[in-house]
Amino acid sequence: MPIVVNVDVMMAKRKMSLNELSEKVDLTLANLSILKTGKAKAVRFSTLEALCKALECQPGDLLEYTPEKG
Amino acid sequence: MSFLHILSWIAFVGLAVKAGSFLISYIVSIKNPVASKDLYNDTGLSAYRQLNFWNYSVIVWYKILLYATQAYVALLLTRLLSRLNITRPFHADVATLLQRISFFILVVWGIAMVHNIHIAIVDKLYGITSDYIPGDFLFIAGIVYVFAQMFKRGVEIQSENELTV
Repeated sequence: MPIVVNVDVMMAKRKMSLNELSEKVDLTLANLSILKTGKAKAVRFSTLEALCKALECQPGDLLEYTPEKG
Repeated sequence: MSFLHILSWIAFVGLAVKAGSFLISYIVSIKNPVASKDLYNDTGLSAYRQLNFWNYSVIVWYKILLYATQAYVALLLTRLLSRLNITRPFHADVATLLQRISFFILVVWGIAMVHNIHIAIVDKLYGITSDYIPGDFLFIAGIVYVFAQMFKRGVEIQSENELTV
């Protein structure tokens, strides 16, 4: 998938644990794990909003486009 | 759903017994031509036995194959019903099983058609008539195939929904 979710990078920058983020954005650890491992096929705007609010960042800080090789 | 499951098991056992009975009756009738008169539930085949052994054998084998394939379809149905989960119905296994069922119903239709053509030729040449097997299986196979395709799409949508955060 050419879209990379940089949640772990922002978490490290904010020094926030997965449990803490899970509580703040009201997402299960399983769903956060799907997001972190790049298995997610879609992200709801409400989730993105909650993540941006909790991590004090912009959507562009969380999502990155890297073209596929070949 | 459990009622359907039991029903499909009954259908499987019934069809398997029917195929087995045809097979055993046929084996007996090889040595004893009189036995072909009492061939399982179908006395009309003794005329073919008197006419020509190979014609008779081929027609009996159509029937054995037909019932065996139908029994296999019933077995696939029991598998499908045991895997089907109504709360989370779209599973890749269910879609594959549906597709396999539609394929084997098509095989049943193919056997029925070859059988009917053979019977018609023998009827024309020697005037021996027998019951034709209905050709509705093609229609049923088509419907099941459409359901299989819909299920496949359902599996994709369900997995997409589960991976939406």
